[in-house]
Amino acid sequence: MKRKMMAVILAASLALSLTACGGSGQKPAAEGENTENTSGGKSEVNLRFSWWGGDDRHEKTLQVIDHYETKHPGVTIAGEYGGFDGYLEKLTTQLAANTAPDIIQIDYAYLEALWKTDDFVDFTKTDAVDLSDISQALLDGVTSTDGRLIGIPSGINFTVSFANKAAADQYGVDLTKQFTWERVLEEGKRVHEQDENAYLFYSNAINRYIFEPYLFNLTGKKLVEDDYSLGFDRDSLIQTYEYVMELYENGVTQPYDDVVGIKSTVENPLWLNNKIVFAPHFSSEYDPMKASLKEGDLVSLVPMGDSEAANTGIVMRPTNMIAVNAKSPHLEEALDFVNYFFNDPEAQRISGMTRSVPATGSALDIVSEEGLLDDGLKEVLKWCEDHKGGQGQNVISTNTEIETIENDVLNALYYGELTPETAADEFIKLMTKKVAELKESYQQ
Amino acid sequence: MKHKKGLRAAGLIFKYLLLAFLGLILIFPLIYMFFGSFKSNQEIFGTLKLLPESFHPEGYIEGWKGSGQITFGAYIWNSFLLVVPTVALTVVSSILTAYGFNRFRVPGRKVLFAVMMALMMLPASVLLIPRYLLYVSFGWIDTYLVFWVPAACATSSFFVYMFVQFFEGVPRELDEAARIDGCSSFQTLVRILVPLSKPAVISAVIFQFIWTWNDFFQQYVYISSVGKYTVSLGLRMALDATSAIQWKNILAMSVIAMVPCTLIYFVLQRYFVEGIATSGLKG
Repeated sequence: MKRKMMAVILAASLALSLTACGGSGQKPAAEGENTENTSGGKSEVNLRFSWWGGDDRHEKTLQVIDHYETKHPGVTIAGEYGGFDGYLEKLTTQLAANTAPDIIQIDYAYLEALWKTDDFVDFTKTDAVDLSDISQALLDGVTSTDGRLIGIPSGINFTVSFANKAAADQYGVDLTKQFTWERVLEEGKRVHEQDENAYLFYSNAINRYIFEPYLFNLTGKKLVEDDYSLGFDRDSLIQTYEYVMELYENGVTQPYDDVVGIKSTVENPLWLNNKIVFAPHFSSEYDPMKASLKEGDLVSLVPMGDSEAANTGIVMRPTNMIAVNAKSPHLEEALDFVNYFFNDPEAQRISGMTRSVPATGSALDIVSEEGLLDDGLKEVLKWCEDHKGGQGQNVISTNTEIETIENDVLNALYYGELTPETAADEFIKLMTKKVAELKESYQQ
Repeated sequence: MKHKKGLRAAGLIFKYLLLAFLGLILIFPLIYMFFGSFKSNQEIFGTLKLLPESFHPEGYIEGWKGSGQITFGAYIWNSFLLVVPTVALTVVSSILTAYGFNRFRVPGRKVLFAVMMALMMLPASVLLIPRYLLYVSFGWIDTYLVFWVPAACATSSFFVYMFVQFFEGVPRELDEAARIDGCSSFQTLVRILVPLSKPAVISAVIFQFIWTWNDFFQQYVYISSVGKYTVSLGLRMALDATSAIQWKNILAMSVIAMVPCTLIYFVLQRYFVEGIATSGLKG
């Protein structure tokens, strides 16, 4: 009996598998027609909008879409959203196969690669999206050397030091004075002497928040200049590496061994237990940083370093760029949505701070009025603008492979495989090679 | 005499203690995940305590709500919709293919088998772009056909190979006996080989179920509508560096996402061990 049943089931599933195999020729045609009907019809327009983010951004962006749909009957926009992991891989696959969404959120780090393609609408060539409310400096920062603007920044990201008031009070650190490089050393020694488990600061990216700004303060140049020449010399490199080692040797910052496994400050037990006074970060990390401490304990400070230098090393860069797929069958509607997304007061109000500090002036006013933008953070933003924020960076220097080189050399230095002198030689050697490669691939 | 008995008992106790200890180490991450689903972020990262301060199921309630407009229940339903046909089709198609390779002398069989084995060594990422382009031209992107159809065409060389090996162990005398009793070649497969290969079938079901259920990248690339997202995609919806992640929600949903895999393993586990082919030769 049992065997018979088995035979029947197996035979049935066999038949099914055979039809599935055989039918594969016809099915897609039917499906293809189907999509044609819905998207190619007269009044119905279906757009796709992809972005990455957390729950809050998902929710608010869907609300913005809903609001647009009620005002524009006949247009439906499907959100394709998720986390940041795998986003670029999926996007490049889709672009290669012409299945990319109509409206696409892209990251600053993708720009260099995406500029080489013709996949996106150049916003300087169309009037459909009003850019007058976004500062020219910000737009210049994401415009390619040949003058194309493929993504409109929806937010600004800048360096800010997030401090823990409870820890500062406990170790008697004055948060009102700016942390110059000398003061970081002095205060750091003092904190570590009081409690050997306490440190003045912790950073999940020493290269970005210490190595680069310190070096830039010395040289006054960009890491890689716009003409692909190196913006640093051996002596300033040695001095920078010596400073970094001094920070470790004096217990100013947590030993590298202890933090290798930690991805972000909010996962650092010492930070959560009030043993770390401050952590340099990008402003976009404000929400998780605030949530990690007791209400009212998070204080936003201006970035460390020499604020009067020719290159202050303060990062100010556009973030969460919105791009439009040049091959979209509904370009007009897609551009109209993007215009609405940036300039409609209701859309700005709903979005709030979900894509960092907003890039448009009117949206910035709205988040300030509604109390969404913390006053301290707003002051830091103002301070960064006044201290040449963002002027010492360019897209070439933020290449991820360059970042890997910076970190590899810093790690070898930390573990004593290199001295500051040999580290400087090694860095110059690796960078010369990498930059030559980058230059070559750009000219192709 | 008595002394010896005592020694043996002591040895036994020691063995069990050792095994229990090793078992505990292996299961510890899961225990930690379970308790973690009741902790706040502060508790998870700030202390080393295992037990949460309270057992309030907030993580489960919030996590179930999901992100945006889709609840976690929809993700689970989608996962079943994707995984169950994929598993069934893989097993059936792999058995048929393996039967062909193992029992029929077709010209070029050895070459074809070598090609199939070579395909097993090919990393999936190499196939990603060509497959994607192929599916685009079929119009299958954003449907589960991308997973079902290849499964129905025995594309998992691993399972074909597994069944070929297993059939190798089933004596051909049984086929001959079946033929004398009047079985066609298809009946021989269904009535003789498959019932004898139950353990292989079961392991194929378990492996394919767990692999497909947990697979992230393929699903992420091929599925773009959030309404069709599966559990492994749903779990990563809220993982973003720039927003405050509620780890307890994610841990709570991970606990729930694990349940089907665990259940299927425990239900089918005894067949893994059960006696096999040779039993047919007796009597």
